[in-house]
Amino acid sequence: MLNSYKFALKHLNFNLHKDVNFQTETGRNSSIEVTSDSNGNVSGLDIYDVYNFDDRMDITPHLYDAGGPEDKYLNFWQTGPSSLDINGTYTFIGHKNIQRHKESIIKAMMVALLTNNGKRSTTLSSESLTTKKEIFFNCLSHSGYKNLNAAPWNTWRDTHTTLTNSGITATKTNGVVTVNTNTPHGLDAQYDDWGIVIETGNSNFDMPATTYPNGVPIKIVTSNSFTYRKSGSDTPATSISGTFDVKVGWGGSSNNLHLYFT
Amino acid sequence: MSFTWPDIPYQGSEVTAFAAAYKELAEEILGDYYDDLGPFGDIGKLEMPYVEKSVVKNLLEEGILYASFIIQQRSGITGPGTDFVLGNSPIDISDPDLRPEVIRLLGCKWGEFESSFENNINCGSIPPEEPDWTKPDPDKKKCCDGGTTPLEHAAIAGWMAWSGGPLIGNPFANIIGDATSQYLSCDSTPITGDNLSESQKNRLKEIAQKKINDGDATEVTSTVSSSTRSRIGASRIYQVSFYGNTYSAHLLLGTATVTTDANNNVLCIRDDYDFEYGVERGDNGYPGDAITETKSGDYTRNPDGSCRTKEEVQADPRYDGGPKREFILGAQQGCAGSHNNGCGGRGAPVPINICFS
Repeated sequence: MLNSYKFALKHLNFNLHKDVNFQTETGRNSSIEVTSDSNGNVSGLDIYDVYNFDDRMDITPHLYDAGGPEDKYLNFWQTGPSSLDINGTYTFIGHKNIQRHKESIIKAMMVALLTNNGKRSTTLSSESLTTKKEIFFNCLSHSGYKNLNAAPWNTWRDTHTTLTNSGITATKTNGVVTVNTNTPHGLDAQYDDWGIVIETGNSNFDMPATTYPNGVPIKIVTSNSFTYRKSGSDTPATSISGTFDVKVGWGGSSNNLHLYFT
Repeated sequence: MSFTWPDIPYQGSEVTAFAAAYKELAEEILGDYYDDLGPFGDIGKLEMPYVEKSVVKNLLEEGILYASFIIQQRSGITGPGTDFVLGNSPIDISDPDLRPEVIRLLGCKWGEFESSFENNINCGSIPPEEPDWTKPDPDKKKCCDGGTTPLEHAAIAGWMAWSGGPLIGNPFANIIGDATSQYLSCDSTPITGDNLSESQKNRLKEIAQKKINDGDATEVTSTVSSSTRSRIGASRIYQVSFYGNTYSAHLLLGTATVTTDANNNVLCIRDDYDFEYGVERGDNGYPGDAITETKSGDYTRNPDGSCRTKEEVQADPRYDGGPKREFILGAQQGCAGSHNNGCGGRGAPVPINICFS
């Protein structure tokens, strides 16, 4: 297997210069530190990285759409490699595809093994091994074959809380939307796996279910406010009304896997 | 094929129980994958990245550490990897191939290595300059007056070399490519067993036979007239889905008709290589029979029979998009004419009639 594939499978992201959420949340960016001897030869190397699910809210299995040059061939012909155990550069699937395929497998295993569809649970399910296996496969099924009446699809995208509409305002600054609610939103700040679907007709703030079926991650700020990321120009405080469905996903900083490689 | 599990550097009753259950389920899952015959049953319904046994094994093996980490975090237990200080990382560095010296031997500088991860490309490489055959083809006006366009020819040849190469190893790559070329060239010469190698025929037969034996096929014998059954030499007839199977046999057959003797022994696979978003069989022949008439595919016409524009086909929820379909749709839309119910277009069904001795 390519060494670069191994790195991808061992959770390294190499998002070294990206201001991504999990790096900010850990208070330290990914880094590579190189030391040299007196002759200028590399004598030491440390890599620090942080890993989390690419999609922290949903469970849709990843296909081949991570932006690599082979994606279009793989999707075009609806095919994939029979093995990752290659040593050449004949066809390169891409690190991101490999990592996200692994993530889809992890999510499917957690849903199959744990109670509550794998959400916030450490309790092993009492279902039979056969049923667990069916759930695993259902997580990874083609859209035409999913059993929508079984886990995870029967409850995964259920709404946890619908926020009341009155007196909600939103503002956007530097790609971060802050939502203020007139009454306490009631979301427990000890969890960082909250997400939200917002459909108000205001494109500055909307995060529709068609694009984000289980919402986008939100960060609880106070009992009356939370934030989420959305690109676009700054927008002053605006009163908004419509749908505010709170969902539960996988988790943010609590799931940051710290990696140190030397 | 068995797992080689990494060490789980977390301790605690919950994570220990979870890791054991993970391994047990993983073994059970892998047991449903066939070594050589491809996926069946539930696995045959999976998205493409998850149908290959070897790939899924790797992903399950490497996934256990992060899944266990999440359990440990939820359990609120501190320890390696959860309270991070340098040197307290859970990453496995026992693999000597991953030592920094080897990284450098990859022949790329650090900036390139980082770039490769960020851009999802191979270390030191740049995305290749290549023709994009999903864009409008300048030759698309060409009707059925001979062969494929140069762009189509290059794309199909490239795919056959890639898909049939050492990485993908698709044993049907050549016949799928040939069928596509025939379709786009409006060449309805039947594909028979003579077009396949013995190995290809054996694999197809094994897939069909197992589907029938496992009850994963729909018997349609009673819906076929006795005269047709007699003509095609079938005691029983089944509809068998080849979708989702490894080796991409579905790219050739989709859902095909499989004939058997009275004891359910597979005799022939019959199908038409055509497209609902392209050109389909327009006569009353049985799948695999010679094509005498063609029609514009169901998705390409409105309920009143009028022809749809490309955009209207794309808006049909059954169409489901994707570059491959755009390829076929582009040919269907690429030539006006009175043929194919007045919808014009290029492409012709290719009958498939593969019989086994």
